[in-house]
Amino acid sequence: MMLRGGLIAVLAALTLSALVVSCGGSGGSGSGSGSIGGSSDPGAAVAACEARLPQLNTTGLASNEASIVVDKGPCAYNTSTGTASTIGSVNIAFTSVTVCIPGTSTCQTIDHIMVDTGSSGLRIMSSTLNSNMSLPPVTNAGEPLIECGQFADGYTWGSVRTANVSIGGPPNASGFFTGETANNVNVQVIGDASAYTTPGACSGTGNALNDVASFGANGILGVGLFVNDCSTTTACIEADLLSPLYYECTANSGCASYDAAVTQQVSNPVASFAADNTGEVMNLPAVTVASGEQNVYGTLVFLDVSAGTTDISTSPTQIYFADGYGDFYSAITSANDGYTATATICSNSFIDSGSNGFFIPTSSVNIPFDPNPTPNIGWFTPSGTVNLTAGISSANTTTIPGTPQTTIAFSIANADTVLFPANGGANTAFNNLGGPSGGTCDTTVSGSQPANTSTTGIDWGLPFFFGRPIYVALETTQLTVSPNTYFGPFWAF
Amino acid sequence: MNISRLLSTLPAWRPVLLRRTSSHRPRSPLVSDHALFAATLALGAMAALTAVPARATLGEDVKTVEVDRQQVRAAAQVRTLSKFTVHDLQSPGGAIVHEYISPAGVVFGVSWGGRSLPNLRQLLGAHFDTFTSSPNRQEGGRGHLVVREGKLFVESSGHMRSFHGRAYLTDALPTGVSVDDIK
Repeated sequence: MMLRGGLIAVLAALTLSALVVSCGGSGGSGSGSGSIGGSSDPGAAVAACEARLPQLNTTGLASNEASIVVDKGPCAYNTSTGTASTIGSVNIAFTSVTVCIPGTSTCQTIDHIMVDTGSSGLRIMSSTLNSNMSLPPVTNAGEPLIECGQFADGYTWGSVRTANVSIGGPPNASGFFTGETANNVNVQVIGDASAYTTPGACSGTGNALNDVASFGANGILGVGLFVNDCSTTTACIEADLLSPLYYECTANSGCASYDAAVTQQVSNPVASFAADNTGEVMNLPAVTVASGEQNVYGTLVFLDVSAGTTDISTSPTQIYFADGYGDFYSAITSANDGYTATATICSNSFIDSGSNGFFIPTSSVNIPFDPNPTPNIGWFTPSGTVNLTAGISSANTTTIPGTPQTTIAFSIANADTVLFPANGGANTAFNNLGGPSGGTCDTTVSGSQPANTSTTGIDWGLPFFFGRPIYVALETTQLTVSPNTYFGPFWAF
Repeated sequence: MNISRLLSTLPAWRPVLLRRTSSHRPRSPLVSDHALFAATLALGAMAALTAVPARATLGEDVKTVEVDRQQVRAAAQVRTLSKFTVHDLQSPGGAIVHEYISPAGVVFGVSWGGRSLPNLRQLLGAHFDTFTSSPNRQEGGRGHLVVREGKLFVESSGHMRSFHGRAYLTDALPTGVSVDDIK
């Protein structure tokens, strides 16, 4: 998402209908396939893009395993290559999902769905859905519920609908995945609510991410720590929020904020699987080349964490509890190469496959960054490669308040050297990219830190996942490793 | 101050105009209890007030802050520090907005934390369009956004259920105040 230019947006807009067809199919399966529409130059660009895209590695997968790939992203986003502004995605992992209308055999597989451990629920771009994929809307008193889905980089405006969502295993002869299925789960269809004016409260949160070109993906699969995107135990109460998430809309009077009930919110499909429904482990191989790799393949393996796994049960000290907001503690404890770490406790830190770098508060380390739009705005640009250490601990640490329990070692390279123009911008997977974020951390914390402070956190993005399998245990997890029981939400690695 | 002013106007008419109540269609069970909180202070509600003319916050004069602070009830606090003043607005659910006021009476920074994003059009006022349109931005996937455009810095971080960020004007920082003072 950090590298895109106006050219991409223009191409995407011109070719959106063609892209629906050409980019909607699952990699390798032929599902949703069709000829690329038209013979215009944008169509040719899309065709060239399609030829460049790697396919998922689905051969031999177990039913609870989904293939993931780090590549340049869907063709609406990366039809051009070769300049910094058009090289497409960096450090974003994609998978494919099959969506069906409940109670029917009408299904579609959609590729380039971003895998996001920072959110909950499947969100799909309406432009990628075939015309026969009319998913039933979630309503209140007959009126549709529309969500203002929110991310740190913008909002998604679209209706809440019900779908059967399947993922995992090799696709069948029709190109549909059947490994794990969540029946009647609420999803968001982004960009399908243009009939209703986006409320100012929603558009006021930032930039619209309502199409593939601005979102950088055909959708997003939120497989985070929580069952629902807002609240799992109560309605999504507007007065608890800084801006509403859910709206009830009518043709005559527009949209009014609405406290969506638990059963009306967009929900993590994992929690609705028949089995393997309390979490997953995201496996990505180590990236060993400083200048990155072109594509990296991994798996997303769905699990019943409560039943125990070999990794976690034999080493429960690997468990890091998140608070009720999905955050834990991190602190930068050292940096070399002449840079200075300040070991304050960043109590709202999080592990997020939907972020594409190590994002660290400026108050924690003083590595310089590229301030200009080109070539690599925002990324750290140290003089050489900086080796850092960080301490991490559970959010509810009370025995040693604020004291990191585990040391993480990682490196930050100069983005101008490794990202672009290195390799002409061909590579998409880097384990050494990061940038400064805002805010400050605390010199002391005691016990469970209230998350509703403006204190910031370290964002452990996708580079954190390379070579480090990350378990995500949903809030519904109860794992007993005698004599202790570990309650989700937590991460383990 | 935009937020406070909006909040102060809420109780009289918001339940009628902005929210569908159980009187004419079913609501989730917690809504009615919740409405009481909303009448006291609802930061979230400010965002829904599209009919109310937006008043800028960042870079504006403190006078509006003071007026509105007095109209907002207990949930607003003012902390007077040696080099600046901070106005804290907190929703019943704990979402928070801090507003940093210089000795000269100018709002030089805002910060926020909560389960959802704030209405930045309200908080940034005249600077919102710069924020959304500036090419000087790093979009680090879904969890990270930094915009640095001239004197305006906006830093947004987090994920669903936990968003944090701040915005400030570098040319409005009081003497001796660091950006790290904006927490």
